[in-house]
Amino acid sequence: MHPSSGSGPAPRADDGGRLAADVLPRPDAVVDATGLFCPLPIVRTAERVRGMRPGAVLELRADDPVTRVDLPNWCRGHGHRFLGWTADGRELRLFLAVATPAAARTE
Amino acid sequence: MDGAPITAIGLISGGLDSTLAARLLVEQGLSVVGLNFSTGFCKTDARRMLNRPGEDPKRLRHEGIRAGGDAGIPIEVIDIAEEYLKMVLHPKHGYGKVMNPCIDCRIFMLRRARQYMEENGAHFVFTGEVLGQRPMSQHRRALQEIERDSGLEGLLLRPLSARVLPATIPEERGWVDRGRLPAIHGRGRKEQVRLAQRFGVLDYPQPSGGCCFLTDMNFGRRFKDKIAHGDETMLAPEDLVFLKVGRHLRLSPTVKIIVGRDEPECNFLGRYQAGRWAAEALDCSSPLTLVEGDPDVETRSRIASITARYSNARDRERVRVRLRRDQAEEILDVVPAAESSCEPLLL
Repeated sequence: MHPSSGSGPAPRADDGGRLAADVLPRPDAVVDATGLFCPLPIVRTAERVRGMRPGAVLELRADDPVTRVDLPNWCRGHGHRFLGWTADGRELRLFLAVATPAAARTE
Repeated sequence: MDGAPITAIGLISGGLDSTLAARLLVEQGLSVVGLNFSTGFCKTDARRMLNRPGEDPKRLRHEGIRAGGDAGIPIEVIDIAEEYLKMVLHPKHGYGKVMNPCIDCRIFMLRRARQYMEENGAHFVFTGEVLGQRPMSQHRRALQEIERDSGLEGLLLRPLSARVLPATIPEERGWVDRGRLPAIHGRGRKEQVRLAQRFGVLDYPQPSGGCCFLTDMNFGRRFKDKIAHGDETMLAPEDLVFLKVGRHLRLSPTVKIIVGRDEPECNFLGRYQAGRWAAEALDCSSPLTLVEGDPDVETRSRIASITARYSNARDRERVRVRLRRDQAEEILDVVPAAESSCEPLLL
């Protein structure tokens, strides 16, 4: 649980952040949510992020296009840093860096 | 507030009321965590599954997650579909106009919120409920009953209506300043809109009252038919997926067909062909018909005829229709069914 005390949302980036194929972050963990529809990719991401250290990078693989909107929004609420996404046809790869305790506004 | 921060757990749908309730508490310096439950009955979730071409992903966004992002509030999305279905089948307080067990739904979600509160050392729970806003679940007695049956007596704050409801423990203990909370009641939206302007909340879904399949008449009819023709103890959330798409026609107590109405629906149904009969008219633009049950030869011919009726070859004298189940395949030459013979079968 990383409650917010209202120190303000992270910058909005819900439809931006497309990454070039040669600058993709190197993930510390991968969640494959291909075939699942939102919110399930977010549910799986949240489960995996709980066990990760601050600053670690998670890659979410999904084919529900709405994930590109929902994941950045979810990151803004939790203080995680959305690093961007790339697509190969319908296959999406999305990246986030796990929040540091300060960014997650834990107290 | 002295010592440890006070943490409130809120039910956040992403609608304006729950968003404002959260903002009112954040404004008072509380830590807020939002819960959003995935029930399996969300219409937006179903639209995502159909994945219609050209549909703007932003229109299909998860509103709870979006609201959390906008407010800087973490949202925990919790998949409750399996347990929720059991509650929907046997609601203690009954249904509304369709299959909507609104009071039991609130109690169910608040019990889960209480569990989350206890497991995470939080202090109380809040919702965006407004006294008198909804006829079934938000009149004074219902609000009291919901609070009692969820096991949250004294620990359930409705910030928007706080000053027209009895003081709660968070208010009595000074965790929340009751004097700074509103006294909204009734069906009007003026006060909420004014508060939204004050908080700079500009992006929120308009209240439609129609985002839950359980209030949908068509879905309700199909759901009741499903229950009436099966063993409800074996019913699982995935069994309800088909109820959300296509035309449904019951041919017999043991056989029902689902006819896709457009390409996205047919593509969606096509993913579930394994182990089931499916029919398509040949040499024309045809829907996919998916069969539930094990039809005999005569019924398969009827299915072919109905499939032809919904194809663009419906005016031909005869149409060839292919039926398949896994490796089995047959091609039937049939007369398209008359509309008058299909209508009585429609659910």
